[in-house]
Amino acid sequence: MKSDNRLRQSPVQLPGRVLRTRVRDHWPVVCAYADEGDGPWLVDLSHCHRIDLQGKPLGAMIPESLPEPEAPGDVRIQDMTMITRMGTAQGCLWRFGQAPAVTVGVNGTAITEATLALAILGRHTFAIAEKLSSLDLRAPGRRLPRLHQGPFARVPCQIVVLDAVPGREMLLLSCSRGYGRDMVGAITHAGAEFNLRPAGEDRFMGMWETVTRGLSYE
Amino acid sequence: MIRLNHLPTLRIKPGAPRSFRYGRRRLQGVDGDTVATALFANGVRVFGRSLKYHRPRGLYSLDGESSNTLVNVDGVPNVCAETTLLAEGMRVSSQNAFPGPDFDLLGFMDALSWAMPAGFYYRVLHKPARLWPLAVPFIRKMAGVGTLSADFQAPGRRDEIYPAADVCVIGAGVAGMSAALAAAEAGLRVVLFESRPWPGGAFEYRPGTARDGVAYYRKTAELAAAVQASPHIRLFLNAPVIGVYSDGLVTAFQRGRPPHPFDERYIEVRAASVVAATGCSERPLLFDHNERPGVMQAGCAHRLARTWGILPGRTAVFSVGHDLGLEAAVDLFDLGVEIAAVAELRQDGLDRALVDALAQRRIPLLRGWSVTKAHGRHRVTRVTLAGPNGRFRKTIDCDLLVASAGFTPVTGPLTLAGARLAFDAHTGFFLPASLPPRVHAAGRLTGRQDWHAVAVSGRLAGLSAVHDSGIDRTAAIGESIDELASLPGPARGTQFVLAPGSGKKAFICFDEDATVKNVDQAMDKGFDVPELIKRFASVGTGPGQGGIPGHNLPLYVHQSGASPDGHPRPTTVRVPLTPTFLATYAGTRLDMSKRTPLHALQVADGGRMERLGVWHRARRFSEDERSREEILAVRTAVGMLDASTLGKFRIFGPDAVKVLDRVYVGDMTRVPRTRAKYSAMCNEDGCLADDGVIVCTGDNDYYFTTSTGRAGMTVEWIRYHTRFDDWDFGIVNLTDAYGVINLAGPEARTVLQRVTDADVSNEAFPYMGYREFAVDEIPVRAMRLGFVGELSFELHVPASWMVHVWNRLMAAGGDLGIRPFGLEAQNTLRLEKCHVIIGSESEQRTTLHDVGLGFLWHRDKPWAKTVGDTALRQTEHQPGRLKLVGFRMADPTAPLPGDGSVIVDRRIRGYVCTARYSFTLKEPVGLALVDDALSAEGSSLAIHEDGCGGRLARAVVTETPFYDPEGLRLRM
Repeated sequence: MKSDNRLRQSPVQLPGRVLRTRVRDHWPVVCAYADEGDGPWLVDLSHCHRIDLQGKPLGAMIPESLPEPEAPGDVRIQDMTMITRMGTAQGCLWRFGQAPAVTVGVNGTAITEATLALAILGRHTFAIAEKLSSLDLRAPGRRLPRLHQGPFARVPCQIVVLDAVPGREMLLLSCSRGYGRDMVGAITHAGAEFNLRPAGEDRFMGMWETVTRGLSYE
Repeated sequence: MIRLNHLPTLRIKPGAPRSFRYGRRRLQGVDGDTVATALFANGVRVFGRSLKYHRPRGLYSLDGESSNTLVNVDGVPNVCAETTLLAEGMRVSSQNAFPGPDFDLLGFMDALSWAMPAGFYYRVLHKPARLWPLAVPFIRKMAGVGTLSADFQAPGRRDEIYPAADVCVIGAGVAGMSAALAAAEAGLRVVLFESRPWPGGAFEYRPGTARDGVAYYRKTAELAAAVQASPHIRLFLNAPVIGVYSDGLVTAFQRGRPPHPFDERYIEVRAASVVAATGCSERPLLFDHNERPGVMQAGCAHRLARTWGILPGRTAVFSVGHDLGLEAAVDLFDLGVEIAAVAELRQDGLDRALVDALAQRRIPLLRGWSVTKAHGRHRVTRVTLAGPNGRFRKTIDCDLLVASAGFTPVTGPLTLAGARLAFDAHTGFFLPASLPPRVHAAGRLTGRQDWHAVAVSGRLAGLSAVHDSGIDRTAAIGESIDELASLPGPARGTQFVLAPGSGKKAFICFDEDATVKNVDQAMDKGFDVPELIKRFASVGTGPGQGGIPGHNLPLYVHQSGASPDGHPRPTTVRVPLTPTFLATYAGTRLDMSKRTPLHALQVADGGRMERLGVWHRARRFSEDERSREEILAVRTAVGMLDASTLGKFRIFGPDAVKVLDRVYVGDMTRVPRTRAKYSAMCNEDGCLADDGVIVCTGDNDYYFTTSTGRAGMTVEWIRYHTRFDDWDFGIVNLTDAYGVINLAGPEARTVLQRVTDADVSNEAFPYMGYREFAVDEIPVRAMRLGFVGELSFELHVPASWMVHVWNRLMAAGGDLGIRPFGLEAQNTLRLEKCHVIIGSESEQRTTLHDVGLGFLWHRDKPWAKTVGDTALRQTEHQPGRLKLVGFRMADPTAPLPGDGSVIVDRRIRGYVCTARYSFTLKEPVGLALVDDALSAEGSSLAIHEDGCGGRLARAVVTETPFYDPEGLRLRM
């Protein structure tokens, strides 16, 4: 009873003309949009694997090959995998691009389907963000990358600020999947004055590599 | 009018005209004009009429301190002309005047002011009582300012922003800018709010010189340039503050102008420290006809000339009580205004240089004199001045009276922040006796008037804010304190003066047409404190938010001796400090809602979507509000419901079962792997909180559902009720991870079997069973439930695969008449089966037993006491409770009672929870919560509905469920 053309559906469709797509694990992943401009960009990453980790100690729940964020709010990145720590006993593992699968025990719950994942990249990223959230995403003295938990466009979100250096501003956010359409609408509306445009995964991956290259947690 | 276009302080571009309409006239202003200055430049002197007496009102201040200049702009009433920048093509009209402000048919009201004493609304036209309702429409028609229709939608683009800041400075005058720079130098992020369209405050327009010989406006401009060059300071211009709250929360709004992509935007800042540098407004002088057009504040007259290049009049008389007034008189003389006389309230303490300057210009200076009356019907034509003892008087012809008793510190932000104000006899100000932590005051509001002293006080406040943040600034603060001590301290204020006269037309509050006489009347009635007098006489309750009377009222009451308190006390300040549109508070009006994975498909199938809580759901799929075809499809063939909004959770870990036992009333130790268990949650009162099913998916691993409405709070509910137990478990909200398809109807199994290899026969997958299988290799969690009373499969499908699986099922059931059904059909179907929906068949006080679900309760849980267990024991047999019953109408052809209709005899005995026409049973049926005395089968119920005219509908309590009482169809 198997169909050959089975495709998953992302919770969102970004308002742009798709230039290239690839299918990964039945997800139609947009690689690039036409006329992406020079930023800021909005990228749909809902297809990226995300796993909720819960347990004490949290470090024991994280696969051995991956680093452990030490305190709530901490973020660790290794290659194409990112681990965030929400609390003393809860974390989240993100896998981007073609990152190999990781094995987690029973304390891991796949939440890819549960959440929407978006990235806002490039200049004016934080100007857009401050129209949508009262969270202090660029509080000085806090090392990046950094996880924030709180409202973004009134919706409870997890927001990871990867970089705030002009030109390489980058934040990821995830929230309940059902909010997808309204969340994209809110971000698009807020970003209109900054010429925010949709971008494909290639744009994200390019900036990811730039931003995460040489990251050190010493 | 010809503009003075040579002044270095101008904020207009004389070469950039802006056309606008005022009533039927086409007028022209220039870029940089406000609506008020453009009107004034075009000769408009009467802007509108007052609230009660329809007195002519004109330009008095320039910062929106009163309702004098409220106009209608582009169809929006009550727009403050003083603070609204002129834009090309604006349509401006006056309000509260017919046919126009220069001649108003209701102008005769002024002569009837004697009939409207203080407390008019409380005292007059109330006896006999029937009089007041008759009077109200007339009063409303004759009083008020702009009119607003009930369906008015505020036009314009709104926005919102939450800038991050370490320090928030309110007021970008010299003190505020100095404070901002001091904080920015330490690397702190500063948000600086300025209500005017440019920074500089009280100094940016003044040509006078500071102690270093440099003109105020130059020094201020240098400071502003430094602020604007600082990468750490965000300056929001045209951004009045709305409120200040605890923990450094400051709200404001910004008026947009090109190229801003908004007309107004709401701003919210949470800063570690707040600096209030809001300066001073001018305290009105009280004399007869003190609000006549042509009377204006010193700053207003001066700024009209210096900022907008408009001479405020040809011949002016000044009646002032401060050096700023003298400075304005000298400068306006130099700019071409004839100054007939300057009456100065003070006998001494005047700035010697300014006195000399007046003398050099042969401007008569009358020390200790004050204006007592302004003459002129629609505008000032002459004024009467009186000497210190009131004995000597002069009457002088003029078209401008500059009147200002002194200064009023703008302490609203400090008060809202929690500062306690006390009267300071030296300055005559209400000053903060103490400030809350991390709140600082600076500048003119502290009484200082010297440029350098104001700047240093600002710097001191900024350094203090830096110190708050943990950066040691002890030394710098000490230096600033020393420097401040060497500079002129707070200036002596002018004592409260009331010009001799009747007070009948001496207005203490312009907005509400409240006079000194009205305050006297209030005191005569026994009101002895400003806070009460304010309410009784409506003083300071208008759009100006007490800006005009806020200082004079307590001073006058104190002077009267009526107050039992030995010290003047200010009235309470509340938000908004500056009023704006409610639409601005709403900001971008984000209405964030959730859609199921099938949303687009449901819409495409003709689904009538409704917003239920955060979700959009399909109510029905046809015009038929009773969803007959959908119901019959489920009863006779097969239907599909999108039930994705159900709450879904994974709970796991060694103590997961204890947690479930804690929150669910049932015994959770007995949840077999292949079965779904239905249970309920109660609150501490034993009242129904939620229901759902629980399945065991692995060792110490459970998956459970909740109702849609409870999904968002379930994790917190569980964490809260296990907070002291230190149990080892994890819980994950999977509500959005899985879509849910309720495949229901006698043909449901046939359809399901066509898309899966799994055996879904009744033997292999019985009622209340749980299975995991694949549809097109897509993992599906399936439960055999029966909410709608038919053979049903609840399929939990990964959200991204929902569309695929839905379409597969739809295609598989095409020949069987499959169709989607919505919430309306589901509601009728489950009602026929008497399955309750918590919230529909329960209320805050409804217990498990009240709705007949007591069988779910497991009394003996030695290791985890159930939430609500104690209350359940107490209420299990409690008499007098409302019980859920089913009913049929005595006359099956009678109209269907509405949900919520009350059940009565001599009193209310219950209410209808849900009633629907049953197409299956071909009669109306319903569920009701009724007094237990009425709950016995056969009891007669009398149902009252709004508009029934006393004709009660009759119903009979009947056996439930109405449909398939043996439950055979669930188990087929």
